[in-house]
Amino acid sequence: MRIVSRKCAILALVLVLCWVVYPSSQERIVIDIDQVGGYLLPLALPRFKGETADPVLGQQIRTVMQRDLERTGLFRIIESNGNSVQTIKALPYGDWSSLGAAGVIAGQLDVSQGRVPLTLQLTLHDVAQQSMLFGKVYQGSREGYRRMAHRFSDHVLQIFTGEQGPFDTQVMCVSPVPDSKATEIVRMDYDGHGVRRLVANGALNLAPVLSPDGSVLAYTSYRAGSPDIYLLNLRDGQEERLTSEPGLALAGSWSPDGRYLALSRTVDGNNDIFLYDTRRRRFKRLTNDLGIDVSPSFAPDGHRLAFTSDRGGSPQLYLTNVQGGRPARLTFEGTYNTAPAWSPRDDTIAYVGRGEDRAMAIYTIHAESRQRQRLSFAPRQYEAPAWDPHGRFLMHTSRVGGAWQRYMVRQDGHDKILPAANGLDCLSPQWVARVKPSS
Amino acid sequence: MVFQLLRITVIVFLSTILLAGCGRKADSVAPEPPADMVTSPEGADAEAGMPDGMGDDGAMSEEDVLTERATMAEEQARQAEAMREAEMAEMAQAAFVNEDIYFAFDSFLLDPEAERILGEKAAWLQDNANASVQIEGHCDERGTSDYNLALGERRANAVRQYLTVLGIDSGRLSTISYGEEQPLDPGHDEAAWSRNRRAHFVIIQ
Repeated sequence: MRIVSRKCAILALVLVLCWVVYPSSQERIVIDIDQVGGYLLPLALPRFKGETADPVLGQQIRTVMQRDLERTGLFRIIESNGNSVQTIKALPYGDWSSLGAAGVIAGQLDVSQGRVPLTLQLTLHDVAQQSMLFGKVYQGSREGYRRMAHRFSDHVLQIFTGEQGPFDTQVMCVSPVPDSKATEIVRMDYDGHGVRRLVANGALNLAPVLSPDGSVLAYTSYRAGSPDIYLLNLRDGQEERLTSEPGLALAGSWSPDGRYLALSRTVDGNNDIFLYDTRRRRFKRLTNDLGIDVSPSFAPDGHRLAFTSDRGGSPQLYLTNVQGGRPARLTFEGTYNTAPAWSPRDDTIAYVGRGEDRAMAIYTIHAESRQRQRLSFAPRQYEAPAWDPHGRFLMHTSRVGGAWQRYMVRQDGHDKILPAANGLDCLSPQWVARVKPSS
Repeated sequence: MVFQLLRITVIVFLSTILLAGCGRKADSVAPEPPADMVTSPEGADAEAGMPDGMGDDGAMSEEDVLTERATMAEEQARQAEAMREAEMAEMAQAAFVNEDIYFAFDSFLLDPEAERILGEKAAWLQDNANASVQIEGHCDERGTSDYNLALGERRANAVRQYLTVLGIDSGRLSTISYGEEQPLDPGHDEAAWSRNRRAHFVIIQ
């Protein structure tokens, strides 16, 4: 067990100064983040002003933004034909219009040996309106460039879709240790960079679930000989073993206020859903059934939960609430529906189901209307999906044969492969808001 | 006096030859001992003990030799039997550990073949009353990790339950689930999956 200290003090220096931009009253570009198919908004992302002082860094920053934006399936970055920007506030819009750009991201890069090694100014322009839509100044360490790029990508997505972007985020995952039976719990940026090992003890470690404020990691470890839940405080490194009876214990989901941990636990050979109240330090049983009850997932209202149960003879999704009322069955189609992930924004629940063709796939179902949608069609072994912190995109890790791939998926099923992290596989991903560095 | 001494020496000499001959005959009658027995300290002692069987007069009656021969053969047979038993116990233990219980997809039901194997395992547990075992429940890679961990637990518990019905003290049987996390066969087809949906036994004491 070890907590890798985060030397992000410099990164904390990423000062974000915003200069206020009021779009003109003319028609603005608005795109639907859930659009099915086709139109990709053409954006230009030319070389930055001042980039000649550090061309490699300039290219790296632009690559991060290009990958972020293209993964949404909403934008395409067009060739700039060698055009670079002389000024970032008022562009020669006619030139960009003739290249077919609807928008331009312009930047100015200042690298220095001084106290602030990197200053990056970025602006977003609407070519048709010939106006600047938005701008930011980022300052920090040279290594902080990825984060600056992700944050600006988030703004670009928000300006065009009205939705908060998922790029300046992180993922908790289970990472198998090569040539061993051990797994580690790691944290990384959503795109696989900046891997930090949080739990590495030579044992099997599974099912990481981070509390909403990023302070407590719940996970299951076999290190004491049986699969038990541990609570690791990431701020002070203190750890607590939450369960110790023989049998399986798996953390499922934190309540939105961070007070309750929903989990599954086997007591006297019977596997059920419990809530652990971190304030009163006690368990409350929510289900009592002879079948399997696992994978509880909180609704954003903090009252309802979805979970998997085989009480009806096959694994299906059920709904219950924190009072522990009689569970109501949610899925009726197919004989294998597991791993619900309740959206943090509405009543959409993503899960892994086995369709009529007997192939596993990612589905969503609405908790009230029960309207169901299949999001994946490739024949792969799908593991539990996870929502981005704003509930607009899904992530899952699946495989064909032995090779795991991590995907970012839009709610219409459009998906893109996410890069592997330094050759590490990232299983059971939990997509979280960026964890603030501890002081 | 000198003549008498010579006579005794000749008798001792002849007796030794006779005895050596009997020894070989006894060897050929008794079941062939394993190679490692010949060099074992017990075997060496038995051979060294033979001259001690002689009377003070240095002679040995025929009856004595025959008795000695019978005792040796019995001893060797006993040792060979013990050896066979040890080997069989070892084989039984190997079968106990190596023979897994298999399940259908998303099932923890024991089929007749599983019950037959568990009958053998119960017999072994009865023969080895001091042994405690851990039953591991495993799944194939299909389906999701958490559900498979719970399913693996149900498989291990089903096996444990059946063994207790057959009279094995449940205190000797612990369970653990590895879900789909530790496949035996790394393949990705039905052949591999069917080998991975299993309960596996580990002797822990």
